[in-house]
This record gives sequence, structure tokens and C-alpha cells, in this order.
Amino acid sequence: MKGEALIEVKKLYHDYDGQGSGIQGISLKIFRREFILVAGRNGSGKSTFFRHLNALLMPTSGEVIVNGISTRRNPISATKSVGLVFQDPDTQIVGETVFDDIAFGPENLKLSRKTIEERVKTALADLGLEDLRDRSPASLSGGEKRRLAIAGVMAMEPEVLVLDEPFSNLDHAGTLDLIACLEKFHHAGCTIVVATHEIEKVFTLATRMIILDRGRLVADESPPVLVKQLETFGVREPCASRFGLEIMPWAR
Amino acid sequence: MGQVNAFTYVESRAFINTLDVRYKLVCMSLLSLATLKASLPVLILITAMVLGVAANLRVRPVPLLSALKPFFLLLALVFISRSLTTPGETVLDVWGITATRQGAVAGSLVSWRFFLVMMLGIIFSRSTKPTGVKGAVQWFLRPVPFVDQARVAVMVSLFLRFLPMILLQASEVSQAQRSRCSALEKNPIKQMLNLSTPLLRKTFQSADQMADAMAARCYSDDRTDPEFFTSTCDTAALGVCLLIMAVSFLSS
Repeated sequence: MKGEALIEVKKLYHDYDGQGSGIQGISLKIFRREFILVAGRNGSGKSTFFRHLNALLMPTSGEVIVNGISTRRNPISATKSVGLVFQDPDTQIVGETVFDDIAFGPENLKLSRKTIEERVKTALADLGLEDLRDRSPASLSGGEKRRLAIAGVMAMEPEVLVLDEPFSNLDHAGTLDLIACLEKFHHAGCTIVVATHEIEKVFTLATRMIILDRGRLVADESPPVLVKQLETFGVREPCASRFGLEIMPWAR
Repeated sequence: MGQVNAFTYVESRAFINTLDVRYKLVCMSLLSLATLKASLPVLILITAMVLGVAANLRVRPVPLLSALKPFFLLLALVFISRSLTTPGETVLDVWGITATRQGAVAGSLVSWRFFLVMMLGIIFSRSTKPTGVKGAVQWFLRPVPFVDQARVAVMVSLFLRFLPMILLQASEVSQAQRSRCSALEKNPIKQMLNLSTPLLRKTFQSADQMADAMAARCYSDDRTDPEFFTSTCDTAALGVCLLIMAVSFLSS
């Protein structure tokens, strides 16, 4: 029994240019504690879809309901509930130190200084950034910046963590660290939605897989069910699956 | 790893970093005004103070001077123009163009003053977080009627956040063009257009992405304000700066 949907997307359309590009009639429900893997070709609408979940974009038609409230009616409520981590951490980081950047979100929520301190300390510990708290974000490595971007969102204590291409430009060690963080957040009860082209990295963690193609939802199943159909939608099938082997977890 | 330029805030235990931002802002303004009026002995005193604070902040001279190359070009132009236009005792006469001793002295003093003001700006931006500047601006504007302090403060902090980013991007674009032999292009207008077009595009894209990322973290004018802690050091620093300004104006 999945219970009540945390996010409900009803016939969502988003038209960028008046010619029907963007999102075309997506309907789905996202439940608590799910780990959803979103895949699809470049330009399939993954990033646009994510921006609707976070109320950064408003539907051309249709509706996105987060915690029972439409994003049209109360966008701030959706922004608080759904934490969005962008593809490029450089444009997401606004603070002059690691500590300040993580505090940015809680400050926007008008929390007290004491609560902000506590939340930042927790996020620093969760993402393994304690030793970097006074460093300038500009001096961090790619993996550290990515973890900082996630820490900045996690400090706002969202119910859903949405990550757009989190593994791009990460080295192997950075990728393993990030996967370990995602696994930890999921075990702690956070709902996670990840868009990636490198699906083998979170394949074993995902409880559900969604495939978008030209703005449409073309598949919504458990990952093992979809694995052999992936290349039909322009998504690379993991090597292990091609050779008939079991796909192994990537976490350390 | 990212780069940190001359204007980026750097976390440090230096004395200037511990000052209350409001006092620091007033001190810097007083010293800048004093610099513009100062006689030679006061100018030497201010220079010693500025170099002392810069050393305490661990500002490395070679990268700093290298970053300020275009500014030195401007100072050289100021020096030359003053040397050639101020009447007095001729020290150089080439093809009927004469440079005077009085002009060279006046040019040196003006360049020296501009350099000190620039150094004060660098010291301020390296030792002050933009969030602190925003808080201080908001605090100073509080008694002013009909001014939306929060909005003005946000604009100031965003400008301070963007200035180092634009400089970094200019450096990246310039390096990318030099790697494709842009130095072979001798036409300065074409060189400038080649640099400014991608730089402007990149800056607007970054501004757009950053606005989205800030909105995704519930950014608004109404946030938790930074706290100010005033100590006797702040009062002492303000007293010294007031004294220097008084001496400067009285001796001019």
C-alpha cells in the first residue's frame, strides 16, 4: 500500500515556443520513500519536468499538486517541499563560504539563527563537508561542489530531493561519494528523484523508473522490467545487463 | 579546482575580518575620502596602513598586481596626461611635446591616490561577505523614508556576488580565445567584440541560471538578517579613521 501521493502530476503540458515542444501531457504520482530514476534522450523534457515539480515553471495546461496543494495556488509550498539540485553546481552556489551557502536556504525560510546553525551543521556532517565549512566554494573540486549544492538543498529539509544529472563531470571517487549520500538520504526516509544518462550508477537503488521521450511519459515501471527496452528510447543499457550479468550496486 | 580572484571574499582570521561590517564600511569610506585630500605625509601614513592590512589579510602581491594590469594601464595614462598638460619646468621634450616636473609630481600623486582607493576596495571585498554588505546597507537605509531597504540591499549583494563571477568568466573566455591564436588579430575593435560577445552571453546565461537556482531555494527580500557584533576594536578603528580624515583635511 503506497498511501497518499506526495506529488500528483495531472495532464501536464508545457509549451516553450508555441509549437508543442516541452512537456506533452504527463500524468503520474510520486509516493513517499520512492527512489525514482528518470531517463530519456537529451531534450526529452526531464529538466523542464523537474522545474514543474519545484514550481519554478507553471504548466501551460494541467496541474502539479504537491502535498495536496496545486503549484499554481501556492508555489512557495512546493518549493519548500521539493528540493531541486541543478545540473551545474556553479550556478547554484551563491554563498561566499561553504557555511554561508548552506545557510542561504534556511535564511530564506526566515528560520532563527540557532535553527540555521543546527541545520547547517547537520547538512555539513551528512555530506562530509565539515572540514570545508570556511572555504570559498570557488576553491572546491567538482565533487565537493556537487555535495555542497545538495547540502544547500538538504538544509531546507525538503520531503523530496530532485537531482538533475548529478553525476555529470564527476570522477569515480566523487560519484561513489554521491551515491553513498543518496542511499543514506533514501534510507532516512527522503523521497528521491534522479535524472541521469548513466543509469547503472543508481539502477539497484531505484524502486521505479520513468522514461521520457519528446516530452511524453513513455514508460513507468520497475527498473528490471524496463532494462531490456532502454535502447528503444535512446538510453544506454547497462553493460552488465547486455552480457546477461547481474547489475551490481555502485555504492562503496 | 576553481579560481579565486582579487575581489573574492576569503575566510581569514585577519583583524579586518573581525570588524563589524557597518563600522568597516564607514572606515573604508572615511579613508577613501582622506586619500583624495591627503598631503604627502598623510598619504605615506595611509599607504603604510593599507599595506599592513593587506599583509595581515595575506594578499599575495604578484597575483594581485597581475590581476590589476588593466588598472595600471589606466594609472599610466593618468600619469602621462598630467605630465603633459600641467605647466611648469620642462624635464622632457620630444617632437615638441613637453613633460613638466610639476606635472610628473601631480600625476604620481593622483595615480598613487587612485591605487590606494583601489586597494581599499580590494581589502573591503576580500574581508567582507556580500551577505554582510547586504545587511549593513539595509541597516544604513533603515531611517531613509520611501526606500525599500531590503530590495536595495539585495541589489547591492547581487552586484558584489556577480562582479567576481564576471571577471572569472572574462578570464576564461580570454584564455579560450588565446588558445585559438586570438593574439594574431591586430584590430583592437574586433578583439574587443570577440571577447565581449561571448562574455555578455555567458553573463546573462549565468544570471538567468542563478536566478532560477535562488528561486528554487525560496529566495525573497524577506530573509533572516545577518547579526552584527560590535566590539571596542570597531570603535577604535573608527576613531583612527576619523582622526586620519581630520588630519588629511586640515593639512591639505
